[in-house]
Amino acid sequence: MGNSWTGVATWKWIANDDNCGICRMAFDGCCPDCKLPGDDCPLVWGQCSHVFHMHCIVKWLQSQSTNSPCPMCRQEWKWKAG
Amino acid sequence: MASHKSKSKTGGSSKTSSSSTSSATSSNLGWSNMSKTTEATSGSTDHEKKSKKSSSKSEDAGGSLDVLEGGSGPDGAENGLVYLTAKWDPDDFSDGDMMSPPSPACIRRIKNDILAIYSDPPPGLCVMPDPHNITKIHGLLTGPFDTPYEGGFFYFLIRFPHDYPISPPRVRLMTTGNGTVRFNPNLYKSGKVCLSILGTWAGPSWSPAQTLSTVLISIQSLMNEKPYHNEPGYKHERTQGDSKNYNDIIMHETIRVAVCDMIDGTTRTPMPDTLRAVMESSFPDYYRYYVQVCESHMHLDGQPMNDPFGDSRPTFNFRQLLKWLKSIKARLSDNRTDESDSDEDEAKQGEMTKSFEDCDDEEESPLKKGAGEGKNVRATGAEGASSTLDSSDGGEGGGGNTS
Repeated sequence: MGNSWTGVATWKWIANDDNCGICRMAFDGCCPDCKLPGDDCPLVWGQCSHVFHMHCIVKWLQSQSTNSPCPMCRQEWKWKAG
Repeated sequence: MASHKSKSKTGGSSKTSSSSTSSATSSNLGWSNMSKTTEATSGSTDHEKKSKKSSSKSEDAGGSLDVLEGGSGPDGAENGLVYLTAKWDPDDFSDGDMMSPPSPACIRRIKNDILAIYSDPPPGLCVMPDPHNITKIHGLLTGPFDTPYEGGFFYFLIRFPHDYPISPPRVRLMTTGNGTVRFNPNLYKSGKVCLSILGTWAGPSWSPAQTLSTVLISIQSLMNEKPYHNEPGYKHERTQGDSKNYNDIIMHETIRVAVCDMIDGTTRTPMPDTLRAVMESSFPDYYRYYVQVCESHMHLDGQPMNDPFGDSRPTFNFRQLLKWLKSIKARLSDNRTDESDSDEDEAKQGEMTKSFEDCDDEEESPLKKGAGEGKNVRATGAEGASSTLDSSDGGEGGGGNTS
């Protein structure tokens, strides 16, 4: 026999945009504070349908004292469930 | 670059993201609210005096501060008073925002912003990072066509805070005739730029989706056809002819201060040689326009400039400007024909390629020229820019530039 195989899989975020509007890094990569893309640096969606690295949007929301607008459309940021 | 070197906390995460530089620059995030920043609606007309609190360097300091004491709470954004106290001066180091070393994420974002301008330059705009400090950017805006600012060279100093893009950059207009000329209701003689996205004006505030490019374009949009109406409460002329009169004043002062004084003045602002070279290579392209403005406005000579906002201004003297323009033209064309000039003059002649090669290994980046003029500058600028910034991109996590 001697036949063997190596599985290779790829994955991709399904996002409307290629880049995070905050850090401007590609969604295929991770936010500038992380080393590896994937579960450790997930993408998150707002109800306004804008997408960011979770770490980026959290940094922004934490910097805002009162209302927290979406960086792209200025609507109040609401997490999209699921 | 050197300032943050030893203090970067996170080690190099450079590999994973190095591929993004090309695609990052092309994404258009469609910030359509931008033009709204010029439509400041609330706020009093004498806000300038009240906002001096933070600017110890302002030449025209003074005025009462008592009015704003109650308005700087967290709700201030709602009642439009936060912008009165916003820190704006890039040279103001009185707070930690400017003193703390920038994070690698901040540096990367700044580089991304600069690259975006190099690869897709907005017209009439060029930028150049400071050779010693990437968080400090020198920017040159040329006054837009069909406005009283046309042909003027407006030099801005921009500094990014350590948490950029969470906080906005700080911007100062350096072209103020040594703190004597207010070019616009939103461009003070102190250099303060009143713009809501910078936090210095009421209206849509900063968002981390903004970039160096959108900031500069917003500033450019302040320089419009009828800047008189930028002043809140002056949507309609208070006295008939005010707007035209203000344009005449701005046209005169643009040629006097933003052209002649910038290129040739005794009080000329220290600025990078590369940006100076851009001005000098653009001057001949605008020369006929300058002359035409002077000749068509000479009838005003001798009259005092009656500033509709009460600013003190000199007397119209287009004849003198014309003489000044002619002498600058003569000097510049002398430099051009004389091949045996010093190194400095060589750079001024527009031999940009050489300086681009020289700075390839350094943080200093070449400028980018967006407008129609200076095409040779644009071509070489793009190549030099990407090589400079790309090559240093990988090293930033571990402490910047290796060479």
